[in-house]
Amino acid sequence: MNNAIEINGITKKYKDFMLGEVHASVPCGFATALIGANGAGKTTLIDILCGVTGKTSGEAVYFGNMTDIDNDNLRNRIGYCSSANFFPLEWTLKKVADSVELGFDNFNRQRFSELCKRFKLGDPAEKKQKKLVQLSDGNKMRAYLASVLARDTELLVLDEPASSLDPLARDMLCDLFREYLSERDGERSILFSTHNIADMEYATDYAVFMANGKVIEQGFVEDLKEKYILVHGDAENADKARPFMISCSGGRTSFEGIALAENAGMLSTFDTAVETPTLQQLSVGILRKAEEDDQ
Amino acid sequence: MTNNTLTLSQAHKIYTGDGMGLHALKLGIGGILMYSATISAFFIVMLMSQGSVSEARNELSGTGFINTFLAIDAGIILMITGLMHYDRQLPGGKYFRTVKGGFDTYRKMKNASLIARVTALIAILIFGAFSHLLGVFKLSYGISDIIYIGAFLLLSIGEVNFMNYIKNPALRGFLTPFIIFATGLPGVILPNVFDGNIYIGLAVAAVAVPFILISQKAMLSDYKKNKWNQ
Repeated sequence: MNNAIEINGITKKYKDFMLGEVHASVPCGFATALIGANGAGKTTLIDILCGVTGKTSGEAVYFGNMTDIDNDNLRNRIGYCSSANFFPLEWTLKKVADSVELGFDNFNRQRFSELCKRFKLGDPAEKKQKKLVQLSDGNKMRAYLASVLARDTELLVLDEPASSLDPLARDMLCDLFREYLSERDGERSILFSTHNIADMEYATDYAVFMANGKVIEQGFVEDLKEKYILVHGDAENADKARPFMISCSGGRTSFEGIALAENAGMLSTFDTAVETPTLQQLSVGILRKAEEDDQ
Repeated sequence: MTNNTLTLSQAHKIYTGDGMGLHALKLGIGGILMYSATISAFFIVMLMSQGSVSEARNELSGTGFINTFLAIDAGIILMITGLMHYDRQLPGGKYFRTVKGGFDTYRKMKNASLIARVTALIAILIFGAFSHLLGVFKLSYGISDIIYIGAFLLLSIGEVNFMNYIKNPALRGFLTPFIIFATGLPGVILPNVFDGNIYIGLAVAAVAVPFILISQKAMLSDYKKNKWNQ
């Protein structure tokens, strides 16, 4: 399988935080979610991959053979958007379009205008326009997304695109992901970060889990759902089941947690019910395990 | 490898939304309006105290007020624009790092901004000169004052570049107005000392040009090393 990005041992040292070594893949043709708690290193990794932040060591290989993120050909192929204040707040949609049109070779003003109308942001060609600072957080993010999606890119890298969107807008974002990927089937890819996967599950094909600056699990969602199981049981069996589970939580009457599918047989002897986990349940289980290991 | 074919004006437009010419025009008009507003305000005060237009105008023109206002208002314009930053953590900072040309585009934008500032300074000084030549408000030593104020404010542009070596933004913002006004002050005083002799002013202007170029290069090199590549 081709990878849009192959991350080989990237590290970044800060005074109080160390990212990596990160080894991960962003498969070509799919939407990859970078999942982790706040402070896991998702934004740092995305910033490094997009040339916003320098790395201490390691390498990222883009589209099979490109490694220099300062190369304009590569910049043009990547559509990056940060989670907040991506553009100066005093800018209008027209200024955004003027700037992005000059900043990249593949910006389509007509498409930007269509996207702005679709996102109910108004017409960027209109004379009287609101500044970004006057828009709600959700509409700011819509404006950022419109500017990125109006470019003919091959890889979208979005940092927390859903965090400021309402449920309806998140649903639309999932549809946009599907549209983006299907427009050039197999050639385009998406990498987005999130710490709340529930609303984005429908749009996620591949997941990379991060905790404490490191990748702790990754794979296609369908494969992960085969690798792990969701286990329920009565509280009286929790202590017996716990050694065979990755993470477990419960109350007075019942427990629930994630276990490796290979332990399903053993767990069934403790009168437990086994289900296929959702990506949200999988995320909670895997990240909780990482948190417990760190303590 | 980058193949950055952007012009200085285009690079400036990517960062600010305005081309270099429009930015210079806005700065120049802003400075002229500010200078006019300052003079008008003091003129009204003088008018109320003196009672007649000609006396109020003479009072203002003869005391070096006009020179001081010209230096201060032009200095404020240079200060505001000289302190503009586009760091990663500021709005737009991450976007600017992904546009084509990368740091080369940043360098072009800063050079365009410098040209716009110098152009705006010249525009404000020309307005001051016209105001003097038309007899609206007289400068103490006429065009000589303009040359001295311009020369020392040019020096202050270079100094503001070096202020970027101060990494603490609060300290930098606090010190910059003092540096600009301390540098601009000799531009107001020295024509009196040298009795309007323009040669010293011209010499300072001649020194200021390479000083600005060196400071600009040093500032960009420092920014690339300590901010852009971090």
